[in-house]
Amino acid sequence: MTDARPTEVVARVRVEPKGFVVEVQRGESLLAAAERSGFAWPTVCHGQADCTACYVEVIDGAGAFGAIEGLERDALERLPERRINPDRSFRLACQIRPTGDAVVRKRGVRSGL
Amino acid sequence: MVATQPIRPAVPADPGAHEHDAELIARYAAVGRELLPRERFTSPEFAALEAERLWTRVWQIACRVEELRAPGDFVEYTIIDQSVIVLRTDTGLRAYFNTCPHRGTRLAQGCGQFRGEIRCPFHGWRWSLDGENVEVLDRHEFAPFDDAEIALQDVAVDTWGGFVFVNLDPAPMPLLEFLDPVPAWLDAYHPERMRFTQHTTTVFEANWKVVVDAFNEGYHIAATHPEVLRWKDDAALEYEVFHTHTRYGGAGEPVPSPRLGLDADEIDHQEILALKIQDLIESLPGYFGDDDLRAMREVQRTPLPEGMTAGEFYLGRRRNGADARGLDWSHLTDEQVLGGDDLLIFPNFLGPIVAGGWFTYRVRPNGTNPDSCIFEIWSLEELREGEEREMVERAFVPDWRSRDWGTVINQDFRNMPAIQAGLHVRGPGLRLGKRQEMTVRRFHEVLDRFLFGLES
Repeated sequence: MTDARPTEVVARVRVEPKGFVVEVQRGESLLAAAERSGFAWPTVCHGQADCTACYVEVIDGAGAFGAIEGLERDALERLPERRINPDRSFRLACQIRPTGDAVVRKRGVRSGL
Repeated sequence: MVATQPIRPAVPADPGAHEHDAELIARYAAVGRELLPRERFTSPEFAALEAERLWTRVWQIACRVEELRAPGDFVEYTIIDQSVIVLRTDTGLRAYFNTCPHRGTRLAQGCGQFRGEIRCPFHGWRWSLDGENVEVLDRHEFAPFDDAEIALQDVAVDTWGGFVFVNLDPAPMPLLEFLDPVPAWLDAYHPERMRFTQHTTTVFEANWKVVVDAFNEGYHIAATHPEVLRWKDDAALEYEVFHTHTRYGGAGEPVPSPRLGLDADEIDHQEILALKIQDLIESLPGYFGDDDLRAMREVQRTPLPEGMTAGEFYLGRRRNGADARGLDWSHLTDEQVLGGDDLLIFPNFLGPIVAGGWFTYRVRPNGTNPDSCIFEIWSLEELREGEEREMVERAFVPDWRSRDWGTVINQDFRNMPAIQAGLHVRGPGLRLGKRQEMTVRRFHEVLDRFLFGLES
């Protein structure tokens, strides 16, 4: 087992439909990784699991996101998209800390370039 | 009408002339200040000023006409320590101070029906519904007096839009003059054809003005109701202020807020409409009847016609629905059908108003305690011309935390005690945004007109 340095990329998350790829470092949330990389990601509460604006739909690689717990679970309970599409899979970008590659769908993400 | 003693002196003719008033203005005034003093919300002295100078002479909503259908029907309207009987006589509506001219006993309580006359339970004195004395038991006991001296004391009463207003000032300005321009904005909604679907009262541990201010702007939507941003462009809300009242509204088009960063081609109209309807259903439990709920769920499931926006589709459905129910929306603009208006009828009545239904609030101080208020939800539905409905049961919820009020209202309520508690803590005056909080500032300026004679 190697000691990964804090800045090592542990996950590459592709964000559809625009196809952006966000490189995520160890322990980083998807939202933080995206912002660090210069993307504008929809949020109002900036990581407090309150506004749900940062939500993503999980397309592939759900296992990379870990279990749903605590604040994220409460927020997902009231996520409007989940209430009208109960059979689709949603997570909060500000709470998930990817440990492997995945594909998500999120509209409203803008590249800083 | 019996001549009565004025309860309080009129507005101080020259506020600056009274040293005490100059002191009060320095301590509490909002007019001419960038930051509003916190003490307006927490000080018992300010609450006493309101009791003495606002509530004694402002037109205030006491009840709705539909609560007074038959002669003898009455509603007791209370404000701080004053109580007014509002009733229907054989010839119209009257209002009296709720106190016996003999030894002061309260004559009626709550809502009910006088059986042909008003009778004091203590010594049995009686009055006609018109307030004229009919009997004094053992009148010979008393030094002679005219009947006029023991008539029930009139309170000014008038109506607009199905609302019954009272004014404790014996010679108030005409109601319509006070209300201008509210009727111009709201008559098209046919408020006189509205009937209660809900009348719920609860108590908050917050100053009444905290609650009015909280509902009187859309600036709080982003942080308090963030999921609403999916279907409401909060930045597009319009704000305007009038001489006494205020308005915000519009932004009825179901489009997402720019805060969510969506490009035009990323907007899924179908989903937005579905989200809006889901939110309405969850936010307003008990507001929509089964027919409405069915219609709304059907809209959620119906694919939008090619090239049609959610707004166009929803507008069409709403107008068709109104036609089918026999409602006349011909004088309502598309904006009023989709988005509506939120008018503050100074000092204490406001809430979202949209074609077909109002979801409005009345707030009153709870006695003289600045940290408590009586809050009511009055939800109203428009009926067809000539259609009638029984008055709903009035609910009292002593502990607001004991109930689920729906997502949006839960979010608003959660703020109230936190605001009041925070206002007690030492800190700077309240800083108000120029546009999105102009309605809040205006409310406080108008209050200063009543309290201190300050114009703005």
